[in-house]
Amino acid sequence: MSVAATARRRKRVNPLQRAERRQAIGFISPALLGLAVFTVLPVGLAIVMSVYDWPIFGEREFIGLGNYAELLSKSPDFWPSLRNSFLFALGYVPLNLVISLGLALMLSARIRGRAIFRVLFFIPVVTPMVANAMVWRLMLQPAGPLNGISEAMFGITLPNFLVDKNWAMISIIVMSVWAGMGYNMLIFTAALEQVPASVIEAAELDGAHGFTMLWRIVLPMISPSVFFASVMTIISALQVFTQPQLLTNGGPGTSTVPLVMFIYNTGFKFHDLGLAAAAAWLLFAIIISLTAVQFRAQSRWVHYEH
Amino acid sequence: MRFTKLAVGVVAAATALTMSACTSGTTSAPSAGGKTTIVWNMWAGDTDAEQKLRDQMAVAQKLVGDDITIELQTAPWADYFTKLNANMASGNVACVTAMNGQRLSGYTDAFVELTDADLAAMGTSRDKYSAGALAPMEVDGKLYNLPYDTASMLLFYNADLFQKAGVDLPTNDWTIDDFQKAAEQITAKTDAKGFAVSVDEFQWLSLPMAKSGLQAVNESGALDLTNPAFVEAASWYGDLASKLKVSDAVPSASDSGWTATQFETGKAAMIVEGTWMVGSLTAADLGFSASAVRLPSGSKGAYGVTLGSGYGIAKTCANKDAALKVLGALTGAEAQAVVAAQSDLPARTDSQQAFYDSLPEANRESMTSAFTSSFEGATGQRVTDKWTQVAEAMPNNLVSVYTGQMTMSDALTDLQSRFGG
Repeated sequence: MSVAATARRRKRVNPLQRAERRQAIGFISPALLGLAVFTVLPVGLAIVMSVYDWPIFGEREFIGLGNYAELLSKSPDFWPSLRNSFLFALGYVPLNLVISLGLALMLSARIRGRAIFRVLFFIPVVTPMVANAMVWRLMLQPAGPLNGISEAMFGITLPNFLVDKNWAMISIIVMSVWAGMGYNMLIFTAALEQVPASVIEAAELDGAHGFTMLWRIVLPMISPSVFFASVMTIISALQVFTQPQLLTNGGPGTSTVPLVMFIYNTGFKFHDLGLAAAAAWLLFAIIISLTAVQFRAQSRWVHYEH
Repeated sequence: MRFTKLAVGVVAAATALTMSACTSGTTSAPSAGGKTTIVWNMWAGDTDAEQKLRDQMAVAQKLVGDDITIELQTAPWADYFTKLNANMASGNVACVTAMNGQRLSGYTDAFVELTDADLAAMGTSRDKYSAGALAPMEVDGKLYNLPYDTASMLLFYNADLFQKAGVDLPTNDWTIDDFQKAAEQITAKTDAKGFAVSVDEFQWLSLPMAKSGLQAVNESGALDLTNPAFVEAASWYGDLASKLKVSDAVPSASDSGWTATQFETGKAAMIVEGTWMVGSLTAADLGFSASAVRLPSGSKGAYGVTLGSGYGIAKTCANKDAALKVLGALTGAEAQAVVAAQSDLPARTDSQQAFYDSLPEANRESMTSAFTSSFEGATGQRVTDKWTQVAEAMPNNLVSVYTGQMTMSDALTDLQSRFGG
């Protein structure tokens, strides 16, 4: 039988399969409907909006790539907000990954009460970010407990964290790491549990201990999880909004306005939906490119053998 | 292949369905039995504020009768305009929508102009309103909203802290120098600060305006933040926190309620706030005796502005006649009497006495004279088309001024260059 004939036979679908496919469409149509209404439509609309001068009300005018040109050359706040998003990501992603991995490693040892610790570190992930941010705002104020303790115990007045140009971004990063580390810790914990004891034993017999064990054996074994965590953490870092909105309102000046807050302000406070949509598309392009680069680079360090 | 086609078909159909739904938004819905529902959109930060609105609505509902149902929708002040923007983007602005005088210039496209004939249809006219009350509701001579209150800024003070420091209480004739001396003495002699600076627009702008006799927007309607006389007055205001230390610095640009909280908790002896705050800032349960006076005057004499908020009718409203009835009822004498009883100064002249009568007896006389002197010769506030942006950007620069990391001159020059063009 020729190859072409085999292919034709494979393509032929029997009535049973056809019926099953119809049923499958029935089953997934609610999900598809949701996808269409909440994803495809807004994304499509955003593309259209980005090439229009689209005020919240009034006449809309097609301006081609005018919004993109304005963002890249004229808008005074676009580049600073892009820089702020990257600054945040540069601080947040490594800190988050290192701390959450550290916690997972510490809690993978058979210590007493480790389940309680895991729950404690995971709590900030499940409490609403708004509540977290409000508590941190109270804590970081000059009249808050942090400065109170420092003044009472050491006689040192701490900086006004949320309005100091050098400390505002650091405060947001620290708060975000605290709020987000529990999630990655859980992923790393699950991965560490999956590392076969036999591999560790064999490595120990070969003389691997401490840092060598971590670097040469454990990390390569859990590298798919590290890869997943780093991809997701970078994406969430570039989408940061709630923390700066509630802690600093983007201040002092524009030093903590990330790109998403720029998009929100441009669209919903300053009424320029077209410009906001264009900025959203640029953010999308940046995130998708970074993610693509990470996927391409994964062959160098992510091991799926086991 | 067929499977994919079907899937794409479902997605496309749903998209088309939603798009058609988007364009058919309506803002007044005739319901069963020929009844019409008119949505009234207004800001309210908590259940108390919402209950006050419901009390006003109950009065208005009686007046409009059973054929029209008024439905109240609220959002907190901080989110109100964002929600309104979203409603506008989707063509779903409530028939009767609240608007604040400072924000109106950016929203005139959303409202119908209210003509004298409209006012007559509502059983009212321009002469029913106190002097200056309609000015914040007008842009380029066109009236877009009917005010429910008229407002000005006052200097609120904590009399207990003044007595503790041995400083004479403020008067309506106070000058900026008197204010500064008192703030310094209270800061030196008590645990509290003499004053609390603010990052909110008129809460902070009022004293620089009073000192310089200038507004942030000049008489020709252009943003004028870098006027040397205004910069000098604003720098003096910033120095109250950064150099004279008679005020703490605002701890975060996102903490807009900070100033009022400082006063209410007895940490600051004086603040500048709007007349609409008189109920909570002079409340008997504060734990100290509080009152208010006219803003201190600068070298050019007293200077204040009239502010206010009101309701307008959305251009997209499907039933303007019913909306006019509701608007007339919500801003009429009966509802204004409720506003007066709720510690807000009504915009209608004939309802204002009820407000003064409702003030606590202990400081009724002093508050009445503070109010009347504040409105004497007050000018209408001026804003530009980009005023919302300016007001949004101000706090972020001001927090740096108060900590001394930025000069007021740099802060104002930055705002002028971003929004002055």
